[in-house]
Amino acid sequence: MEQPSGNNSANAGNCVKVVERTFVPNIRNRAAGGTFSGSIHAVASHSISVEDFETEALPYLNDIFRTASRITGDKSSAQDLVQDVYLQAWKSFDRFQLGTNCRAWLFKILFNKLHHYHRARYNSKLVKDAEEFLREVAAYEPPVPEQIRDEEVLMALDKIPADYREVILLADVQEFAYKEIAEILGIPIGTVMSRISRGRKLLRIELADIARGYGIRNMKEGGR
Amino acid sequence: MTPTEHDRPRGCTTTQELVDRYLSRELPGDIAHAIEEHAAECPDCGRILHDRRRLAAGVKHAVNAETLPFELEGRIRESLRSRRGGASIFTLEPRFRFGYAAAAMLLIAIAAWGTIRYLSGERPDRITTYNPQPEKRSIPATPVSDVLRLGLSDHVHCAILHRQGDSRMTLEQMNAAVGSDYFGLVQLVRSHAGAFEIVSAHRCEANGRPFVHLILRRGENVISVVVTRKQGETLRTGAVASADSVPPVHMRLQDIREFDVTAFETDRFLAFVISEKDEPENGAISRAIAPEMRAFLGRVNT
Repeated sequence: MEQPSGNNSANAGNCVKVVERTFVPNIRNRAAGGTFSGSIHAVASHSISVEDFETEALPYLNDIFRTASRITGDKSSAQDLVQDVYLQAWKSFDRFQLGTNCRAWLFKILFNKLHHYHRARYNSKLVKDAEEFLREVAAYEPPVPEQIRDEEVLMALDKIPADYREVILLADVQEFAYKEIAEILGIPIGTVMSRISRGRKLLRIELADIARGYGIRNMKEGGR
Repeated sequence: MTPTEHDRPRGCTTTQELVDRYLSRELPGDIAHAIEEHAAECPDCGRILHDRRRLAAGVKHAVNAETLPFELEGRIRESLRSRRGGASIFTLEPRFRFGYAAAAMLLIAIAAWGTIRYLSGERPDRITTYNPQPEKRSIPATPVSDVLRLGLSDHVHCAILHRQGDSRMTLEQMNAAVGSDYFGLVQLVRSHAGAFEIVSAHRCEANGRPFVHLILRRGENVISVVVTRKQGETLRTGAVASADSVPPVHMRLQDIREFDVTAFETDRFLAFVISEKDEPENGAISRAIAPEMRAFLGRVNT
């Protein structure tokens, strides 16, 4: 049996292309180990072209959109949100730490916006309910249906609270390391681990429920 | 070392406690290896690991099957350009504000002077070229990789996750399954399939999109030939006269693992040949079937 394929570092999407930029003297580059001691201003942003930014950031558009779409549950809102993310990223591109993970940085902006504008989706009562439910069914381990349809997986994913859904998307779809997920979401790594474990279990339970409710389709006879 | 009955419960407990971290590749190599060894010997843990791995792959596939809205990339590029150099003067440091304000005042004064001259009948000797038409920007087409993913998505869903290639249909069953519109397609592909045998042909649907799907096998090797009607997509990237003249496009794409996808198009259809990576027959079959299949699809009723 093999360890799952894929490599977190290979998926890191490091922005290695050096973008020429001009900083005013009172700003120390974080990449050089310092911190920004002054405000970033227009002189800096003018020396970075939109084309440079697009080259760095647009390759991750699919990943950002798919994640936004699954969290908001609405393609139209997701499109607006993703556009906001890229505009925000462009405006603060000066503050992006060169040589670090551009993909993770975009995801951090995405989740900042999601948490800010979509607080209603992050309903703590839902999380408490889910945790209570998990305590009640601690010993229950539903089998994963033999046939998994995309529609059923997405339906199950949509049913679990957003706090859990987001870690599953970041871990299982985007294949970020736990440490990166902790940084993106601004939560301790222990919380990431427990949410992944609980989220995956909730997903298995929801999927089993859906499979029972709809009947596992016989692909050969019934078509899809 | 085979676990003893005494060791087994502890091995199961440890494995099941660590399975989430194992799946996320968060365990050191030796511990991950120990879990694999235990799962290989313990049917319960082996099943758990297999199920969870399958579900993680299913989640990844389902989420990644969603295609980017056609216009979004163009919208973002437009909005970035509309804000090019759009920093507000109020975001500038005070020592720069005066300079920018002075420059702005000078520009306003020049514009006002020019306007006054123009209105008073004085015309400049030379008119600076100015194009009042907004800059035309072509909306970027769906990336070719996304077009190829349409076929890959159906292959992964149908041939890999649902193991449709495990079946053995007769020619009559396959012709009946694809329907009268596509009668003859199975024979066409079979005549160019080489050592591969067509084991299944059916109509299916992935993410709401209908496909005609032929599955070819040679031992454990599986190739899908997939056809779908276009919904505005194209493989054309330049000024190519017709869809029929676009040569087959090949890409290696990552889904639950790496696949080789070749695609070609007609005015109304996209056709894909999908295989595991490095399958030499992928290119050979694509090249062989493309001319005849284009002619065949041209005859399919609208």
